[in-house]
Amino acid sequence: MKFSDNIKHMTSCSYLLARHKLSLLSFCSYVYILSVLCLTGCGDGSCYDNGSAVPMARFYASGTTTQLSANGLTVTAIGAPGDSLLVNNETVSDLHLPLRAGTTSTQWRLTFTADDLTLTDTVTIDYQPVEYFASVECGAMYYFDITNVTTTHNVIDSITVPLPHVTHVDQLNLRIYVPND
Amino acid sequence: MKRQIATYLLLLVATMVWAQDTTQVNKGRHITPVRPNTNVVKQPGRDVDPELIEQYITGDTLAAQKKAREDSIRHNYPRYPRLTSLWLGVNFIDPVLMALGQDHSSVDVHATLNMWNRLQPTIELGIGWAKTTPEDMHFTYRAKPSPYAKVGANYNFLFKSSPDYQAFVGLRLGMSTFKYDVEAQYRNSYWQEDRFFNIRGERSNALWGEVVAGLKVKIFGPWSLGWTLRWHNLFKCKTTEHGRPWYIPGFGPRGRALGFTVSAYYTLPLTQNRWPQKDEIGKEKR
Repeated sequence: MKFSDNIKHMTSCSYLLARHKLSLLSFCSYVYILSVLCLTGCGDGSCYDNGSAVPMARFYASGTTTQLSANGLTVTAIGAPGDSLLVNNETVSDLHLPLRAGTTSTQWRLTFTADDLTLTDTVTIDYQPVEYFASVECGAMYYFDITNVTTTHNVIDSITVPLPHVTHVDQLNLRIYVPND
Repeated sequence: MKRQIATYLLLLVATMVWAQDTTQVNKGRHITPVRPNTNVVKQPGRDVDPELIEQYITGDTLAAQKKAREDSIRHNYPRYPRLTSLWLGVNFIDPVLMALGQDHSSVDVHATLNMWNRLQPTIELGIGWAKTTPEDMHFTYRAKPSPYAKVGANYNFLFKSSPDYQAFVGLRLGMSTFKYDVEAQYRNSYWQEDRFFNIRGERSNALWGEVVAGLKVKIFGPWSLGWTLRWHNLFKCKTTEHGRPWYIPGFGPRGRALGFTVSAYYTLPLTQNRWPQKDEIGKEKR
């Protein structure tokens, strides 16, 4: 290719892009495709956490960090309407204890049955409910700030509160220490 | 008579044999006919560097070709001035989509300075609002009309062409301060509670970044249309005691990574007398 041909070729290339003019129709097509992609492809509308804030309790052997399962456990809420049995003579390691949003204290009766022996403890949780908007997917709910936990000591040795702020994310809020045997 | 015919036949055969030999000989050669009327020396163009011509004449063709290439790259697209034009634009797609059922909207005006038809610093100012009541979720979220601002710049890939047609990518930094309300109905099936509560006047603010890709095309006169596709990422969003905002003005719903704008532009040429002039067939003169 001659020198002058090179110059002509490169000059014509420079105007190639300038000649590329989008019509209004193709512009609208791009707009439509992109808007459909954006409106249908963004956000999946799912809630991967709980729909409400419920404190989770777990049983541990007294004086250790060893997790236990409580055998023959029955859990009822004091003052709950209707059938208030939350757990009915089951073996559980984790326990979700729903709190009332209309009050600042909720009491639970935990009954342990082993052989012919039945022992009951009453756990009282004091808290402050807080209105909370989590997300469009999970909705609005009450969060709870636990202020105090008390218990009787027929079976339960003690209860600690590693995480007093109860959210709709499944996290350990209460540790219930019971004798290993 | 017979003798004459025999002589003619002999001559004919001799001629055919000679012609065949000549053809065979020519097959093995490459003959380039020289036509004197094509053998002319072209005069170099008016804008060709004399130094370049001198290099060709003296036979230094390697240096001449290198210089010619540099010159062609330098000269094969028009140069635009630092202040080429100013665009004023309105992003209007969200109100259209809200009329079609979208639960949030925003309107913004933006000004973009087109520098060298390549680098384009821009500022966007707008207002966004939202209202949604999802089915079976028992709440209504209202974001009051609140302002937002974005600053950033584009890089136009079609900088060699007319500013009327642009394909660009860019970056934005966005910020907003806003308020929202939530009215909710709370149901607890275990305690059989059914309570209503209001979260009113929650204040929040957000800071985010955007990567922008878009097109802008001239429609008629100084008017253009353009769209951008935006991937955005939230750097910071204030969470209050009562929750996290769902809608951020200028950003959109918090969990959404993609945004989309369609804008109408008005172009103000800033230094048109210095733009490349067009000849009678529409090509830009250099």
